[in-house]
Amino acid sequence: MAGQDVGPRQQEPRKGIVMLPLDIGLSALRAQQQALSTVSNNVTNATTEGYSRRQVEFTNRPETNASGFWQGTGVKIEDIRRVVDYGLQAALTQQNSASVAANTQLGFAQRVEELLAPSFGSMSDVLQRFTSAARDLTARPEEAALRNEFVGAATDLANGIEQTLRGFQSIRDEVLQQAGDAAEEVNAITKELAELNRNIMANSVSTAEPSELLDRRDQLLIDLAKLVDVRTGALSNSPNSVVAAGGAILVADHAAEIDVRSNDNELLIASGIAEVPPQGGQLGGLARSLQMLNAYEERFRNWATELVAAVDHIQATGIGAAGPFETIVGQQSVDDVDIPLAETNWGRQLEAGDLYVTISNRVTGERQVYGISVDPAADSLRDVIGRLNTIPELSASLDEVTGRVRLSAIAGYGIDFSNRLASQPNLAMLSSTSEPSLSGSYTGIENRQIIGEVISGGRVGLDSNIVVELRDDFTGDVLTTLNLGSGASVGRYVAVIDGVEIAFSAGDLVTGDTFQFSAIAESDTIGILAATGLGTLFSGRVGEGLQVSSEISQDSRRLATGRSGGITDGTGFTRLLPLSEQSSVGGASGSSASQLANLMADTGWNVTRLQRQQEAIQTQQDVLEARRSAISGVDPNEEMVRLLEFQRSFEAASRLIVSVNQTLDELFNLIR
Amino acid sequence: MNRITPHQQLLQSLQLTQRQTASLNRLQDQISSGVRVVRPSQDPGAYRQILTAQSAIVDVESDLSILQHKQQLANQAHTQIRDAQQLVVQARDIAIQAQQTATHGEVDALALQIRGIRERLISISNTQLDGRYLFAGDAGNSVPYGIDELGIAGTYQGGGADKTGQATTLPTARQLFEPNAPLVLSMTNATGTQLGTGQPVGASRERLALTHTATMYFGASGVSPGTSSVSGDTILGLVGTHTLQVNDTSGTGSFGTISLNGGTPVDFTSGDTDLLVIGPSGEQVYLDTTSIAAGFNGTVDIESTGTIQLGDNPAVSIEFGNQQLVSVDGQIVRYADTSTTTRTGTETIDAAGGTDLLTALELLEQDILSQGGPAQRHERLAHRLDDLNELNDHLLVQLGRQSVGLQQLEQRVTKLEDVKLALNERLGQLNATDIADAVLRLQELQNQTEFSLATTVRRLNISILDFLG
Repeated sequence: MAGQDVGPRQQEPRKGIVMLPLDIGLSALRAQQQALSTVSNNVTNATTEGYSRRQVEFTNRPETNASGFWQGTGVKIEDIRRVVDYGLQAALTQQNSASVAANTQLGFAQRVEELLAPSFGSMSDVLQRFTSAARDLTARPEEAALRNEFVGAATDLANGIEQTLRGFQSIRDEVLQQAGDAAEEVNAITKELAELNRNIMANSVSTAEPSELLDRRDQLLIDLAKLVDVRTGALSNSPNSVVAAGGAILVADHAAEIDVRSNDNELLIASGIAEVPPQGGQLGGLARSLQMLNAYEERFRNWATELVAAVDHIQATGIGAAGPFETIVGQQSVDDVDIPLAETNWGRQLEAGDLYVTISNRVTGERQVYGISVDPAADSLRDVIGRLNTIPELSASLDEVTGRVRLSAIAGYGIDFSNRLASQPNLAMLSSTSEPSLSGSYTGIENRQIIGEVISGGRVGLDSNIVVELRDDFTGDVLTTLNLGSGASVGRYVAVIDGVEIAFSAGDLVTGDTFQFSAIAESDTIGILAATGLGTLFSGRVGEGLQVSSEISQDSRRLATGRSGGITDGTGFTRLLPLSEQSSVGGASGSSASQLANLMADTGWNVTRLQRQQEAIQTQQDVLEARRSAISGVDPNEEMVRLLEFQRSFEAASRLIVSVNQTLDELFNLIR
Repeated sequence: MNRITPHQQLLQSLQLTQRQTASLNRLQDQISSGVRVVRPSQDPGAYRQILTAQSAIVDVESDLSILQHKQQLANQAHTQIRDAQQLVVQARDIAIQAQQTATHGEVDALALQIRGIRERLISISNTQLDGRYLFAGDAGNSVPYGIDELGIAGTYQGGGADKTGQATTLPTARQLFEPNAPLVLSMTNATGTQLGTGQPVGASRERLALTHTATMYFGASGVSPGTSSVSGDTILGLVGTHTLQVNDTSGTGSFGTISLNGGTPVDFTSGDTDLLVIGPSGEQVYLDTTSIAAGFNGTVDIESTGTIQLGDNPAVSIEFGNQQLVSVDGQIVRYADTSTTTRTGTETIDAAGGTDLLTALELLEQDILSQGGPAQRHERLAHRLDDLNELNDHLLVQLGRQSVGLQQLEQRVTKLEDVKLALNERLGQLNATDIADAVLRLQELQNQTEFSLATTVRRLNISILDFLG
């Protein structure tokens, strides 16, 4: 509090020299009384949050000229100063903002960690159970109990994925809810701040510094900083002004209200037309949490989508104990059947490639394999349906309402997409009476179109020098040459290439005749089966009600455990096993289990990083708090010492007055 | 010098106490649960390794379970193969016994025993375990050898090689009973026809029926086929195989003699339209001698064509060369050299090796019961003994393979158990709480907390108020 004096030797209204000591004593009594009050206030506010101790500053009153000498006139309170370091206070405000932001982000990072890596029943456990059930089925595909266990594990996997995504949504809702609440709190604080600023200005003009108001303002600034980033004194003409939320909020003697908006990726503070992302405080932490949440959710969603697509692909391109389908309906719908596939809502990356369909005669067991080529950039689903309809014994249609594909085999035939060999090659270019037939399972790693050409004809098994050459149609490379002349077994299968066996029936082969067959490693290189949901394990989309296909739930024999059609063939599901392979390298290219483990571990790294960041901020804050406490904090012991000092001074002043009074009494007695 | 207020001291003390309490809580969790890392953030690096170890353990456990199941199947298969091999040994003993037996009663009894062995072998091939046909390969729900209403086993109906799990140890019934050895055939020699060159297919005893179609006489002798020639001639062969010697003793063609292949001459007259002439080996032709050229004395070239029929399949023309004969279903292929065929008749092509077990036993039963001469019967039974010896060797090889497979399975189980143990140790090192260490740390933290609290109290106790009168 500033005094009214202009200097120590200022002439004051002259008092009687005799009465001066009493006046001096009185000044001391008054000053010490006020000091005692200040100390008392300090002691009682020792634990008040945001309170800055007050320090009484005494000064001597102006001297007066008495009998040619300058005479002191006592003491007065120069100022009751609010002990505060404004720079430190600003730093502390910033630190509070950073601390709350870090804490908020840490809290949500821990929520994400708990969501993705709970102590029990994590997605890793669920995936492990799924692949473990698949592994068991590779050895005992014929066991219904194991098939049902796999279906259960697949159901858990689908539920786990959906629950996790719902968990992400729930956390996101909480982030937005908290952001809304924080915005309301910001509005309340800024409103109070504006009012306080007005009061401070009013009080600063009329009297001394309004400490209580300033304390309150500092506290409100800290409270505001805990919600959003704050910069004080941003306007040179308005020292009490506050800029918050990167400029979205300006508080002087008035404050505009803010609102919180969120788009897909970020949280924005809207004030008027401006929309800025908050940097600090709870809102800053929430904004960063939302980004973090979205990033993890995207990773998880991508992981789940890839996993589901891989599993669906394996299921769709295998064959189960129930054998080929009579009718098969796609599980996924498409919103527009006339636009190129790449532009549809399937959200999967389709590639230009081939789809091979196997048509089996249910009575004779004979199979034919037909391939269609699809370019997703140019072909629509309707085009694909058209091409499928060129396959004999197959009828493809499209439900215009649901956008789902339906494939039906004519009576007595079945459809599947396994990589089985046709029973016989395409014999359209063969006039020979000896016909080739195929057996075995192709074990190569790339799809091949194989052309067989009779180089030198004659009676199979009888004539000499009967030569048939098998060539790769694409590269032209000769894969093998067969001598079918004398000594060759008629009708006996011989291995030709990667598990493929071929036999020639009795009869003559005509030179120049050709035949053709497909050796398929991958029957769907487009990815269209998983996209359309034809023969897939799951129905629905990730995050939109993913579940195990009802057809498989009802009949586990539909599980495509094999690729040959034999009930004890587990080679179909062997392809699921790499999904569980753990690689320490992992990364985006690792197995599903590796990717998931990396994702889970990353949540841990994220929490650890944020914990360290939060600890560092907390340590800085502790230092600042300690410094603030060192400067502005109240030490009751210290105050009590001062109290004693002021008390003693008060007593001394009292004694002085008594002594002066006694002296005056003596004088008075002389007169009396 | 910094001022330190009691309030600040208290706050610091509270913060420290909170941290210590959190650490105490975590230690208590670790001790109670026995798990060091519950959440990734507790040790992200270790957490990743823990997941890897846990995953590997589950995989190993799953593999162990699969291998143990495989062991069960392989043990069962081993027992069945051993039983099958023992049955083959029994069949071989019966075949030896049959060679020395001729009485109907004994022969019937031995044949019956063979039938019983065959049925037991079919039963073995169709063994089921947990509803799965053990020897059906990847078609575990298909009966490997279905039996028709007459009790006759058909062809193998199982699937391809076993495709379950990583260790393939179960042979198919086809692999067991149908060794892929090349067929060795033998053939009777009733018509001059010999085994041709080529790879025969299908182990079975096949009958070849060679019949006469037409005989042509070349030259100007005037001899032509008699009215019974088509059905009655028994000669077959191109020109040069058979010849007629005509001697017109009358000089006018009205009478003379004719002989076939140097056989006994037969008198003819110009009135004979269906004269039977028999050659030295019993071959015969029917001749029409009504137009013998006057004064013809000489040799007449003959070409006699016919058909050859494999079993019940359609007959085809004799090509008088290496001839391929294929059954309608393509399952049986035989090669006959008809260049040496001289007469009609029936040949039997027998498989003297490379037959499948069920066929071998079927043939053995037939041969035991056969009514042929002792020498022929003995020879056939000798073939069957060869078959059985070969099949016994094959089954012993299969048994050996199965034993090796079982051993390998055992080794893999042992190895996987070692791996599992190592993984568990690794997981323990990564994730199990070191109880002693945790308890010590708990005690240390507890002491620290107590000291901290005591110090706080002590420090807060110091107040000037205590010294004020």
